[in-house]
Amino acid sequence: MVGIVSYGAYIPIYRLKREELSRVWAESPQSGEKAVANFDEDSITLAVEAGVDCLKDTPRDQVEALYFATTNPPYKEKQSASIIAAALDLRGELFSADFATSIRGGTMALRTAMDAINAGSSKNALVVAADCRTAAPNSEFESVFGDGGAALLLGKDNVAVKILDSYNLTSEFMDFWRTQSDRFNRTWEDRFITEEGYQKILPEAVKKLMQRNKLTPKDIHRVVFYAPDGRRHQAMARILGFDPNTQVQDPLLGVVGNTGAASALMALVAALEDAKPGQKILLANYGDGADVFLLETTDLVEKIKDRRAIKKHLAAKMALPSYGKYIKFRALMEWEAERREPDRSALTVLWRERNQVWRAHGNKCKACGTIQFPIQRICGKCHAKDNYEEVRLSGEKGKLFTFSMDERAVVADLPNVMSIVDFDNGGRFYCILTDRDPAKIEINMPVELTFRNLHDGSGIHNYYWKARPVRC
Amino acid sequence: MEKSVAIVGAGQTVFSRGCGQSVRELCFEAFREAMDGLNLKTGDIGASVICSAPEYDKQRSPAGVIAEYLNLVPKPTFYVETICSSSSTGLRVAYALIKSGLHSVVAVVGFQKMSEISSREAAERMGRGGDIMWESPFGVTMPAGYAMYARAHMAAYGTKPEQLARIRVKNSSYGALNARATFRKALTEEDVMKSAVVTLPLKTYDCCANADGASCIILASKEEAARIAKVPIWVLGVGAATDSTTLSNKKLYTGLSCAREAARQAYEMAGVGPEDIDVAEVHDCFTIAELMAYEDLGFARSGEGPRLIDEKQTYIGGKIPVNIDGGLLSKGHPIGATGGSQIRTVVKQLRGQGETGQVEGAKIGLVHNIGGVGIYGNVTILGR
Repeated sequence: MVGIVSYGAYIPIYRLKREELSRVWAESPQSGEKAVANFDEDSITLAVEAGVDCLKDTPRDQVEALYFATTNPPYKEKQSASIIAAALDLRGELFSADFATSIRGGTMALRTAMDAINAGSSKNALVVAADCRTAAPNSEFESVFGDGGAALLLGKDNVAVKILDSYNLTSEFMDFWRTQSDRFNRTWEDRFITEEGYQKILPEAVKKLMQRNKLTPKDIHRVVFYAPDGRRHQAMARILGFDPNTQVQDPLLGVVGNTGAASALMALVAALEDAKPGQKILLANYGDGADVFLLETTDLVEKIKDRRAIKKHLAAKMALPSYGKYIKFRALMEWEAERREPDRSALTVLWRERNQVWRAHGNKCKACGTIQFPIQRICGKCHAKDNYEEVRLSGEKGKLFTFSMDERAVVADLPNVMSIVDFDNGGRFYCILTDRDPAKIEINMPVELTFRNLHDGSGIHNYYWKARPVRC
Repeated sequence: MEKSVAIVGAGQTVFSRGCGQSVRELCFEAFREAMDGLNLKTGDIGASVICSAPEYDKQRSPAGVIAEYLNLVPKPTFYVETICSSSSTGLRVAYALIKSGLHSVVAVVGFQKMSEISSREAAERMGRGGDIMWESPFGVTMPAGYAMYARAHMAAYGTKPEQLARIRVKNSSYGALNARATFRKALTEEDVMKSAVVTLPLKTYDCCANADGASCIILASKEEAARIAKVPIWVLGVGAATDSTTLSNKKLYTGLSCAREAARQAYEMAGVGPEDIDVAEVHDCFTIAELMAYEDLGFARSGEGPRLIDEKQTYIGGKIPVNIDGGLLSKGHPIGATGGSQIRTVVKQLRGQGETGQVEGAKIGLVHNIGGVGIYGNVTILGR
């Protein structure tokens, strides 16, 4: 039976306290905080992080399919999954697809992956959902939206969570949307979209699946369901008839925010982190209809709990000190230093060097074992010529060898920390240090690589690897 | 100690920011000083080597226009570039041209006009001297590059920012006396320590500034030198070396490998050692660069450079006077002109014509000129 073999998740390191929004807009106090992507993060980089976490024990060349869900793909035209696949160093012989217009995208991808495996067209499939939606300043979405991602590896062997059944509904109901030219979300009157849409469609789908499987709420150990915000989440728990205190999974709205297409899967990962073998879990997602899944954990659910997933990422955080930083990170303003000659990015270079740029491949000398980056045809140590193999450096841990903090660089977050990293297993790497507290950087601190948007130039998002202090 | 190629003339312009002269006019001014008092006609110069870093002004292939303006047509001219050490490389080329017998008199003209573009653009072009595929797109700048060396030196040897500041204090004390320097204010250690951060641990006064300027060195064969100049200064040793441009492939971060290798070659060729040097001009684009030069050139053992400045051994009267014209830190750094200016200062010292103080009885001098973040190392040893 097809099921979840592994899971992973990612939450950006920065959190914005909602009280800061209340302060800036002089409005009544709000509680909690939301996760905010760093200035160099977007839905693709969040997805890569979740994917890396999920593929912890899986050789990358064994993944046969990749499905990516988001409502905010960095490119309107140009597949995101292909970039995620490259950063994850997946093989070229891969089926990939984006699910890019619905907040229900995460479970659409899950259902599609499940069907592909059941149909025998692929042995496994990686489902990644990540979202990075920017809300209009001072809108009701501003305090609600958060950034994050989740990943599930599906397969037939070593299943940790069995997928017993799924039920799907499609509805043309409009509640949240953006047109081609809209930057920010639109919505309709609250009572209408809630009472006519969310509170009718989701319960109907849940009811159908429960009836079909002859289940009542007490048969379900934990229910995970999507909600636009905390208030509607509480109301839905009552409508569905589950005990909010013992059965309902915290959807992370208070501490992360509504992560759009990633929301339901992130909450599912949070539930699986606490799950014991033999428990039934109900997953219900909403948006343009509803998807409901009946899941059951196996003994193997205990074996995959060493992921960073939700808990560790939640704990490892840094405060975004001000709303000013937030609008700069989310590019909600033009800033002085940005007005300069546009960078001329060359696609020829990007294509030629793709193994180094996106896959973080260095080379390892077959004669003496020396690792170098960028790839050199002649070994810097033993001078052997053309005698090397490419090795993936993105998963390597290293130490900060030396660094400087440039206060005059043209970047959204000063200082720009230039760093030279020595990998523990050999190889030296020059890059920028991100997700860092300038006061706490020191030589020899442990660092790891993370896939980021290095800069935008000539209408191209230039992704590359940066280092960061080991997150958790 | 072979005396086969000599410097017969040396000149430079005032180094300044935003001066009103064109590149050709700057070059002419430096050329005129170099020719001053020589028994040499322009037409007797067999070739000219024009040196600068490209892209700072609009002129491509500047050798032709400059040779024309200096009245060096129809003799051959060509362009040589190793960023900040371009004119030292030019001197090496001229040495080879003369030694080979191809020419007997060669003019090396170094220039840079950095005020034609904004400081930000200049920083970006400078950054492109690093690896444009794997480094400069991330915003790496020269100060940030050297700051990584500073950080590594501090971690390895406990070097303090105050010790770097003392280098600026020394150089500014000589810069105050140098009529051709951009910055003529004598600074205190406190001034340096309180200056704004550029890229930690380097502050504004740890860094040299862009400038406009030109320099000119005229070299001649042994036979011609005695006829042309009263006091020829001999080129005793020329060392040049390269280190990986790619920061990740550099092994040493507490010194410059290319400087160490260039120094080894130059000492060997001249048949002298660090203890024989009476006066030195080193490439102090940043205070840390001068500190590392002390160690790379053998004036101090590794890690002991800071003591040299603490004990004021690099002032006139100390063990080894360094940058007694104010260095790049005071003079400013018109990239292509810098090496020629350093050579001019040492030539003046060896002739006993020091302008900012004189090292009494100086017989052997050394010039250390670096291109990029430790990419091109050039060490030249001169003697009376």
